[in-house]
Amino acid sequence: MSVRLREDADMMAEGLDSLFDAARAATPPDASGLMARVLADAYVEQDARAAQVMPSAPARKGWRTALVALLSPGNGRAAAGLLAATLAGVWIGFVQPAPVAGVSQALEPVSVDVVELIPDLDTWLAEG
Amino acid sequence: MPLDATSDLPDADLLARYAAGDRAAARALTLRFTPRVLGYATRLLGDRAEAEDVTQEAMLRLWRIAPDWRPDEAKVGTWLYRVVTNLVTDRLRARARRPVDLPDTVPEVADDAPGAAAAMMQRDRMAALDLALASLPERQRQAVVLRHLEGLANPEIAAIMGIGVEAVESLTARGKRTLAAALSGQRTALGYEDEETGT
Repeated sequence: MSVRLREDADMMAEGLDSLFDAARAATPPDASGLMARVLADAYVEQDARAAQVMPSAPARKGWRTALVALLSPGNGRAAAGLLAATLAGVWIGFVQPAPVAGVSQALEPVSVDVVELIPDLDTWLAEG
Repeated sequence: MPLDATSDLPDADLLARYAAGDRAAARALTLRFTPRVLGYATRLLGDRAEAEDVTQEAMLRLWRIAPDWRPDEAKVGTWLYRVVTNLVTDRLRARARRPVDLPDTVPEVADDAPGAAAAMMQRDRMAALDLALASLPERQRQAVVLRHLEGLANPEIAAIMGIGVEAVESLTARGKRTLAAALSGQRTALGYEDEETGT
């Protein structure tokens, strides 16, 4: 009886292996509809991520990109304004118009008292 | 470069390309993993519609984790199997223990179709296997399906199930014994009713 059971068990094991082989070799059921939905999800996620990344992209490109964008055709008025402001600053710095010169003279004393915080060493030597 | 299911690119490279916005990589990953994930989920759940929901959810999680993917920490396939296993476990716990919706009878096959008898036999065998798998305890079913139907190695199964390799071996062995016992009354379905051995 035990021999019969063992033979049955062996046969079942072989049968199982054969069954597993057949299951692995079986043609998978059609999943085209599901794959279309999965792919649609993939595209939605890609687009959503791209939309999140876009607004912060110019900030990461640095000042050169911003300058090029400013000087590009179509931004002529902004570039002209920037240039005018720059030239005005340079001109004011060099010419120093009268009002500015007046303020400078008012703040600057005619004679300057010099306070000697650290006496010269020669003074001590002369006394000694 | 066209990418399809036969692309030689490793999974992690495809995922990196997907994260960078590559549409072709999305298609290649979908073709490569969706049928496998669906087959695994169907074996565990015994319900095609639920398995499709689980598959879509698992793939959606893959798309979302793609930008943060660390290829040195896990293989894409292993990660997907683990996600599916967890999703299936949640579903099995959530739903009442209702009978698995498997066909009691084999669908009719036209008699004049070539190989009709062989096709019927094949369907009978697969139906018997599905019924027997459904009778296994959940963890045994996971281990048997991953080992013998998905063809994974024990260390990978251990990573998917979150247990040790020895536990996988134990679950697989017990699962096969239970499966053999469940199938012992279906010799006809297995195709060897005439192979009685003498005592």
